[in-house]
Amino acid sequence: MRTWELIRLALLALRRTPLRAVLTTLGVTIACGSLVSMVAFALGMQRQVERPFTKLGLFNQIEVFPRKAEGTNRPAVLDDAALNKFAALDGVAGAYPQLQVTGVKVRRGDHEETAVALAVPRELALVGVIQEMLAAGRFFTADRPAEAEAIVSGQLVEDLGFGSPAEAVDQEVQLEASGLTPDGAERFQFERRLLTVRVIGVYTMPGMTPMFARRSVLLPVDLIKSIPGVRFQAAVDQLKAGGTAEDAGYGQVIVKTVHPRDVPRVKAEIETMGYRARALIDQLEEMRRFFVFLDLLLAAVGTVALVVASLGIINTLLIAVLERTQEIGLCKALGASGGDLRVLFLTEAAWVGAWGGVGGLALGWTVAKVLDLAARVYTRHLGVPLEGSLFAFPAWLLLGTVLFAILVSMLAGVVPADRAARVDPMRALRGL
Amino acid sequence: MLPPRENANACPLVRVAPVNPADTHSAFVETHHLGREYVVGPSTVRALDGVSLRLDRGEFVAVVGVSGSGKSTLLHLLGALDSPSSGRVVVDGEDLATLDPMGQALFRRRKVGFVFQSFHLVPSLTALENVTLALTFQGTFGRTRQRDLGMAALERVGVAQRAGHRPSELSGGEQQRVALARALVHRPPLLLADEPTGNLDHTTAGGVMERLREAQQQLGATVVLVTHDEELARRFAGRLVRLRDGQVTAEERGGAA
Repeated sequence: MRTWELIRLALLALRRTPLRAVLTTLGVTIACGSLVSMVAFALGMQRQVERPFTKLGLFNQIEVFPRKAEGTNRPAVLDDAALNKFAALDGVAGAYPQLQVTGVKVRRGDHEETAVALAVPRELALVGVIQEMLAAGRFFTADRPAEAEAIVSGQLVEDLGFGSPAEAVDQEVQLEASGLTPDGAERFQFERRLLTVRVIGVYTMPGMTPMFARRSVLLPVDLIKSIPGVRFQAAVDQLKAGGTAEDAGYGQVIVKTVHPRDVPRVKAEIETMGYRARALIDQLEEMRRFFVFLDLLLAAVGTVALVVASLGIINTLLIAVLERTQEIGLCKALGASGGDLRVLFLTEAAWVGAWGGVGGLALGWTVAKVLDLAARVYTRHLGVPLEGSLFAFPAWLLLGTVLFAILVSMLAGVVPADRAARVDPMRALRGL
Repeated sequence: MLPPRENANACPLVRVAPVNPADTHSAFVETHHLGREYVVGPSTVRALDGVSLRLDRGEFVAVVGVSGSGKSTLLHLLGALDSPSSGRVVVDGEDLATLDPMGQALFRRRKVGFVFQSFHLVPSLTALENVTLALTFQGTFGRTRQRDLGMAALERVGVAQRAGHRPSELSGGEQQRVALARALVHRPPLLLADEPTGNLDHTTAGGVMERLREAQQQLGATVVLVTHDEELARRFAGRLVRLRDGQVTAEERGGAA
């Protein structure tokens, strides 16, 4: 029997008892709807949690620290020479020192706010995602070194009294930083410095990032190096290890890889150079494992619903076999084999699964949209607006749900199909 | 060697013509000592008991007898819908006992057309769809070709104008003609009709039988007609085989011989 004939015959058979077919399909639809919406929720939550890390390019980031060299008490120095070596590694997009100064005062007219100054290299076009974070203005460019420029967080812009991010662009703000700066081998000097910078951009951060990152001033590496106190901690660490404050390099360096898959290899190479390296992606593996378990748990709950729905399919098809016994006998008299009839009934089950699966996707998507809207309204009310959807519907989930529904339905059709295949044509035609 | 069989129940006025294996003429259908028993509760019912027959290609044979004489059982065995308890059936040189279920299905698909007393039309399908249902399992024709063959079969039995109607919209005679078209659409060499006029009035029955005979003559098919209507059998069949208690008791020439 040709495939299209089979599909057509199965459809015709289902159309014969439309109400029963619709009700059976509805059971599969509801089961698939719950399955797909629950898994989509788990996937959406995972994306919500990972979004800030992805946006900040943290998945392809390696944090490098000095480590005591073999046979000495002095840590390997993380200086510009080390930075150049890291940058030259295969798969590395760039490396820059992780410098930050807390308690920086930011002034604009009568407004004064305290923020964290963070170093970013002017070449941070290498972290392409940063561009997406810009609410207004532009990022630093490598062709304008030594410019006193800053990129300010949207929260800070608001607190400084700007009406909008765009309004802050090209405006000047004053930074005041104070701290201890190495002065000789073992001496420090307290310094206070005022710096006028031009705001060239305003960035926004995903809602779930730490507060300090949402209330920061980004300064180019070359500029932040001149701020008092920026190298204090590294100098103290060097002194503790038996070195001199003047030898102090950077306390921490960030190495960005081109792709997250490069992280393990680059990390290993940096460690062989004598440094301690840490990748955020390693720590996130635990979190991802949790989400895998959550996905599986919710999928299992949805599968239970689908199994319950499959009982409806078994019932429907068994009744169909009973009702159509004479017809089955006739088909056998016309030359249908037991295999033909088995495949015919399995195809009917597959139709129920396919329609139920597609209907389930529509139902799950609708439920997700409603819940997403409700969550959005609620979180906006709480003042923590959601970014992105709480539900994620990747293509594999859509296709997988329909295929899974078809598979489960066909499994449910095995017993009825087998009964149909084993119908004695002679007894069937006699109506026995 | 199968010896000629004396039958105590044989009608004295008719000639019994058992199979003679010495006859080298090749028959289209042969049965050899065909027996079929059914276990019903504690007892065993012998529906057929040592039936040996030869049917030539293109022959129109009517099997007559009272209810329970084994007519339908014989027909089911000839069509490989059932398997004998003893003896064997050979159709077109093919011993049906050697066929597995798939082989039996293929045999029915290619060589047999069935017509039933109660028509057995699928109520949700149109007349044309019922006819082409027989071609569906062949798997050799596309949809257009199936439709053409189906319409040709309906035209042959005179109900082409009812192609789009469902069985519930057709009269009994029309339904049986559609069933006849379904049995003929794949041009089977063996047509097995089980009381095809049993549910029809005399006039309508005559019309259906006319169509059956025309089709048989056009296609050159061997027809085995099971009926209890001897008058009808004599009028259309070339030979009558009389069954009683599962045994062939007599054979006689029909009016169409």
